[in-house]
Amino acid sequence: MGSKKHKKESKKKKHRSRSRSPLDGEERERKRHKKHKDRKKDRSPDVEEVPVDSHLQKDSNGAAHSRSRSESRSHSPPPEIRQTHREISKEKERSPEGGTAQESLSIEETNRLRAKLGLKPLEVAEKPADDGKIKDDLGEFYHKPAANIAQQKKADKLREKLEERREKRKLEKKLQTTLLAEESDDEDAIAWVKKSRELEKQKREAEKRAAMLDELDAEFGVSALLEEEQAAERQRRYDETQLKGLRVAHDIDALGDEREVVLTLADKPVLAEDAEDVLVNVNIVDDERYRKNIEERKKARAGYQAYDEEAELQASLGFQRPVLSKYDEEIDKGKSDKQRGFIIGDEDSIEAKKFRELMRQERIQGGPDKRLESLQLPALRPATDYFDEHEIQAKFKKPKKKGKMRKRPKEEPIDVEDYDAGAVPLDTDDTDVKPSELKMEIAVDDEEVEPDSELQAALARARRLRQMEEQQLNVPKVEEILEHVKEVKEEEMETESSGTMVLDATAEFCRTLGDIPTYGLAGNRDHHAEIIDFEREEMETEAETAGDNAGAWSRVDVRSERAPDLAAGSSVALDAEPALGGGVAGALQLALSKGYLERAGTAPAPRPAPHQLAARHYSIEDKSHTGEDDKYGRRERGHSGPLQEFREKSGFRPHVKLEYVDDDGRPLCPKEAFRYLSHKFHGKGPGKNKQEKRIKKAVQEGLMKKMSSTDTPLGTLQMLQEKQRETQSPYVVLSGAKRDHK
Amino acid sequence: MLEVTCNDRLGKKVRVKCNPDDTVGDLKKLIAAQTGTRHDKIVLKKWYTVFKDHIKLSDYEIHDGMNLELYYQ
Repeated sequence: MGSKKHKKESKKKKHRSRSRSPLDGEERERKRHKKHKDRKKDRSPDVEEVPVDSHLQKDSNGAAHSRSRSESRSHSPPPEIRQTHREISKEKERSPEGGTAQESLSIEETNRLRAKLGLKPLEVAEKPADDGKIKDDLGEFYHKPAANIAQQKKADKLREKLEERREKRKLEKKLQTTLLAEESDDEDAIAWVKKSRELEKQKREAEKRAAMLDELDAEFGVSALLEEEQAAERQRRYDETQLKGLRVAHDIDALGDEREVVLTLADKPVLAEDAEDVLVNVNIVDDERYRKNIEERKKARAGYQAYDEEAELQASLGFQRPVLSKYDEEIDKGKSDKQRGFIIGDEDSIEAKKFRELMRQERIQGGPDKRLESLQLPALRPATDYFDEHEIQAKFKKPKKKGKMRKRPKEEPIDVEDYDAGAVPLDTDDTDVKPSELKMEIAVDDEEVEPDSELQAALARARRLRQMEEQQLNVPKVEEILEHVKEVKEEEMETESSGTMVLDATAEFCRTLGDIPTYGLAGNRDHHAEIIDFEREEMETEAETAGDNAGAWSRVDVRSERAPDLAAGSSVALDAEPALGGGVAGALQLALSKGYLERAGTAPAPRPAPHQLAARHYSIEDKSHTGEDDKYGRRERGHSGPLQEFREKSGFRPHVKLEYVDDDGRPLCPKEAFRYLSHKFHGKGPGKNKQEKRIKKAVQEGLMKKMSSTDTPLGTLQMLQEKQRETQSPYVVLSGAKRDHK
Repeated sequence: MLEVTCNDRLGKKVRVKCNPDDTVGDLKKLIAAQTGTRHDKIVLKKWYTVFKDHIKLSDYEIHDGMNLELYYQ
């Protein structure tokens, strides 16, 4: 015990040192309790029984806590408090289950107890309940009470009934007819009589007065005067000046000049504020309405028109282009009506209007500097089977035949059909023409050219004239015939004369012929020997320029000496076949030219293709593309490619076979090919194991292929055959002993 | 007014009438008066929440018919 006390002391010290708050004492107290608790618990499971009110009293005193504690424990509780405790226990409500005791005090008792403790009494009355609103758990918000459906129904029924009653009453009231007898009471009758009498009296008096006034007038002769005046007035009132300022709602053109038109005042709304009197004619109004309806129907049918002629016209006349003009009438309905028509007597405005119209017409007709053109094309119509007059006249005008038709004009050295146009030097041409080339004129069949020689001649003349014009520009330079200058000049000429282009049958043929792939391979076209160095140079430059202005047509230079060269090329390309009849030499020559024989010695270098004959836009790639085009065209028609199938390719069924080989050249099956390509594509090969496996497989396959089908791998059959040959017997003796074997 | 049930599960179960604006301390005193235990020995708990003396019942949202755990210290 002593040791414990010692401990307590130390605790006390600690607390004192820690804080000196008023709670200090209490806290200390609690600590001590804790100390004691363990001991008590050991003794009994129940809590120490303490007289109920003893500590309460002390609490209310609020002083000397620790002291009283020890006292209360040592002393027995005061008798009166004990009694209360007993009372409470008497009122204990024993719960059905034995062990647990449930005590509940009544409200009065609790209140008494609370009074003793110094607390306010319980709030028994639940106030919020009585006003029908229920507060929520926190007491903050009122809940709206749920509607009583039964009550609502009842109320509804009642209301319906009332409504019905009211309706009934209304109807009755309406249908009720007041009988005359019922209506007129005695009083009313008297009043009515009085009233009628009064009225009668007044009438009579008025009459009397009027008569008196008349009499007076007659006496002074005023009445006659008045009457006259009135008549004059009436006469005066109605003439055209009276109508001045009145508006007629029709155009002045609508009213015929000579015709008489009856105009009436138009109807107008009663409540309209600014309603002026407007004169209309019923028939014209009907006409206008009819016309407007038709117009509107037309407009509705037309719908939206991007290029409305009317709008275009308006815009061109400087008016603002209307936007969605079809709604204009809806927007300002009355406005157009008000502006329409003319005002009687307002001559100026009518004149002005007329003038404006005139101007407009004039402008539409086209001013001095303006021409209007419609965007509408002439209407399409089906072609007739017959000519109309104009066509007949145009078609069957027989050309007058000239007498000298068959004769070839002498003054025409240039013909379109052949290439000697360039070979024959023109007067102003500065190119020096070699005599050898001049000789190379090809004889042209006259008969072939004959039929349209006239036309050709005309064309050639025109062309020549044109070329002459161009050349005249170069006249001052003609005199200089120095070599280096000439070259420069030629280049110039080439650039200058790029406008002229000559087409003819040969060129056309060559163009369609395209690049002959086998041309010159046989070595029979050793044309390059004939080409002089200078020409070759020129050809090179030509090739360079050709790359620049690659067109469908190769240009034929008429004046330069390239032309004869070209002619020579064409002559070579279309060489005459060597005659076979000329003996062995001829045959040999033919064989050589056909490529059956190879010339001994060096293989002739394939001469450059005669590019002037080659079509610019024709190549081997093109050929391959046509096949592809065909395919694509079939697949995605309408997107690209030809719309029509090639007639000549109707039987064309390309046989496509995709073959893949691996790095060693082995053919691959589709699966392998896919794998191979996939590896290639992803840049990631198979693993080492896989590769080995594959190699092994390939080796096996190779062995299998090598293996003979008639013998075993060890060559048993062969050995057997050898043995048989050795022994000269059709059999072999197989002995069991190993040593004897074979 | 509300009535809470306090049970110590050792044989004592009391129903106490009180006001929602009473403090926990007041409730303890009432419980003490009914059970005969000292009020300062009483600990009131709901699960692991130990109710403190100076706080009102309404602030702890203690409503009518709630069960409080009664412990002693």
